[in-house]
Amino acid sequence: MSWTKPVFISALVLAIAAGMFALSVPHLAERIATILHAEACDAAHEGVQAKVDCWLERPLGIVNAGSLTAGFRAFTYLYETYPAFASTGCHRYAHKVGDAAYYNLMLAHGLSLEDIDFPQSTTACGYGFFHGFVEHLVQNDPDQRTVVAHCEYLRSTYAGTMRDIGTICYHASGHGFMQAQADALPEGMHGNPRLMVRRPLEECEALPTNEREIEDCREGVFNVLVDWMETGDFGLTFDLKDPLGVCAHVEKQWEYACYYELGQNLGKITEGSPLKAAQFSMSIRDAELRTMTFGVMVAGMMQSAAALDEYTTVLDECVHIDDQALYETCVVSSANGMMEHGVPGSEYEKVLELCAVGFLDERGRSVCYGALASRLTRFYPQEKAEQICAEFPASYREACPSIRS
Amino acid sequence: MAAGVLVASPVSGANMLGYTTRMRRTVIAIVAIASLGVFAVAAENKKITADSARVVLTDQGFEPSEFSIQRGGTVTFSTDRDVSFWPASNLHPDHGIYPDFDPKRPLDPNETWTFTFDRPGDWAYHDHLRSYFTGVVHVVD
Repeated sequence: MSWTKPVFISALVLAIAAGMFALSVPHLAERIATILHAEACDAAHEGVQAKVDCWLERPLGIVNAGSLTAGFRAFTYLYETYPAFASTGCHRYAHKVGDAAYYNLMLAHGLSLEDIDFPQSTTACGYGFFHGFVEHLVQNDPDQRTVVAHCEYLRSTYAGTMRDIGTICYHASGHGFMQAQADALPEGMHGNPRLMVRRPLEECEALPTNEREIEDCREGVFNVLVDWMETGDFGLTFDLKDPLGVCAHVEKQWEYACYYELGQNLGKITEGSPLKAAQFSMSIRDAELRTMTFGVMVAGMMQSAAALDEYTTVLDECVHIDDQALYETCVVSSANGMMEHGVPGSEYEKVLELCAVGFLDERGRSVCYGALASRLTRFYPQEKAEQICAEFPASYREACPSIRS
Repeated sequence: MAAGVLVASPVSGANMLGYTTRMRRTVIAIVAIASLGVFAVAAENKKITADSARVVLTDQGFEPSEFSIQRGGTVTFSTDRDVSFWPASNLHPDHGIYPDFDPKRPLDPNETWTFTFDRPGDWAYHDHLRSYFTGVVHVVD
């Protein structure tokens, strides 16, 4: 019996220490479960897509159980831990979480939009979550007045900490109009992109809101069209010989949105090279469309470059672009792309590194910090944006007042 | 004290024999029910690992959403909704984990689509038109 007392005391001390450790690390059990799940997926599957499918079960399962915040903690862990997860479609995976939340959280629990508390982390990966969530919200009820009611509710409730939630909602509404049409798309329309976008675009035009948000909606329509072209749905194909050809045949008012979205899908042509993107963009006659399309091509390159820490290779090519306007667009779009595809909640950290690279000239550095400053309140509350701005070198903080505008 | 215990005990005296008999009968009944349960579960398992299955997409999602089927078995997908549907393997929208598990087009509401699963594994799937409707087919050897 003499040994039992010390053993009991040791066990008690260990238990207290373990308890204190658990209390000092928030969400420890949840994190351990995420780690175990992720490692099991990594070991069990060979292909990246199968791994991703398995990894996603964790955040999706947590969201289905009712916690968006905890679901995005798991999402962020996956992003930070597995480059294969981060670099192959962070936005698309966040979209999937939004899909699941709409159905398993809102519909399954009989909730209204107002019943759901969207945490800041739902802005991760270019607001991919809201693209998915609102897409289905609108797909199931594509009435313009309802759409505006949803988007204005989200704006009035969240714009203080998620500046672009309103415009994102209208963009996702364009997704929803397009998806709603897919429910009963006549076969005669298959393979004809111009016919397929017409009705959804007209629904965008009829939204009782401003031109900026109607444009966001148009972009959402073309975004889905591009997805369908990429996957070969509804008889659509992506013509590598004339990748922007579709846009030449849409009405003038829809041209910009068309270029904006199709420009994001030119990775096979640009192969991650801003120089190739600049060369390709020279084939676009209209200067505004040319610069914008070049910008979205560069921003798209950051999806994998940001996650794989290869962002300086993109920027390194930017400085070799002779055209001053394209050079500045290249730097700005690199910073924007890094923000859109960066580590959830900490997107700005690598952009600060990007803007500080030694080979950028004064003008490049200035537009880089300017781009970062203008993007901060898209992802972060005002207070955090101001703290980040305080980390800018003093001579570039003049970009920061734009946060308050 | 001993008598008192006997009196107080529900299994005392002349009741003892009756009690043990009842207990034996109860145990037999429990075992019989449990056996029936095991048999039923085994039968159910046998049913869901059969060589064919039917899945219906309803307003509540795929029913059943998760089930097992033998390798080489067929699953027939249909819907009771009045809009098109498109069952396909994950991930949305590429369907890359099992590319053949994809009709490559939307199916009309009154249409069915039958697919033969010849690859063992756990195949997550979804409705390509409403990707929040999901399910899993376990294909076993």
